[in-house]
Amino acid sequence: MEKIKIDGSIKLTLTEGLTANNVPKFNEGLKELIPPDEAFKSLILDLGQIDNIDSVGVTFVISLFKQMKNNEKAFKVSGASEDIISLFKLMKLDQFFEMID
Amino acid sequence: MILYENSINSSFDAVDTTVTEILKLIRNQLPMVNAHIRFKINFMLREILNNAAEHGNHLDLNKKIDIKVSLIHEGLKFEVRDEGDGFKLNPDFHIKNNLRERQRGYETLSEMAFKIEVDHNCVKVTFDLNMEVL
Repeated sequence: MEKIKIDGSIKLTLTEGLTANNVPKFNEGLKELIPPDEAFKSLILDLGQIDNIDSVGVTFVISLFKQMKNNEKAFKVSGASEDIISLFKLMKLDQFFEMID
Repeated sequence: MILYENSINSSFDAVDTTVTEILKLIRNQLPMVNAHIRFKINFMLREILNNAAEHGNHLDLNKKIDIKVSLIHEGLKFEVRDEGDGFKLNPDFHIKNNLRERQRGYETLSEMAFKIEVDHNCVKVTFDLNMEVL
């Protein structure tokens, strides 16, 4: 997981599959990359390098969305493949957060 | 015709390795299965294998998950058996709250046009390669 911060917006890029075997590492990475006192307005989760996803990975995305919503921060997913976008639409998640290129 | 048969450990890492192997085999041996269908198979296999590892075998490394992939007349058949007590699939499941974190997997597989049967501790999933989906 890699982090870039630009103008109050944090972009997190996942570099391994969004799957059950990796999600614990992502949760640990989040604690290090975004400490509780970090000031930012929005979080972009970049899935541009991701081919593999499972429902545990989807739950990770939903959990991030919920955390951002509870803290009044914007949340978007970027770079997702056509298949992942279709999956999120099938699960009706596009009504909760925006997906951008 | 059996394409793949294996018995794996009850861990998410073993599931990841196994799904990668099966997807590679399908890509090499079944050119009619395009990338979009392989994506769905990838998601489906992870769902049923993760469930077998976590809910069936409670991630006990002494317990195994058996998996068989076959090419049948209708398409592809996937059979996954764990060492757990088994479960019943509620045929009336519906997505009532899309942010709920349980049950979402099987609901999604059904909407992806996979046919799912549960027999005790064995999950059988068939995918009709002749049917156009999504």
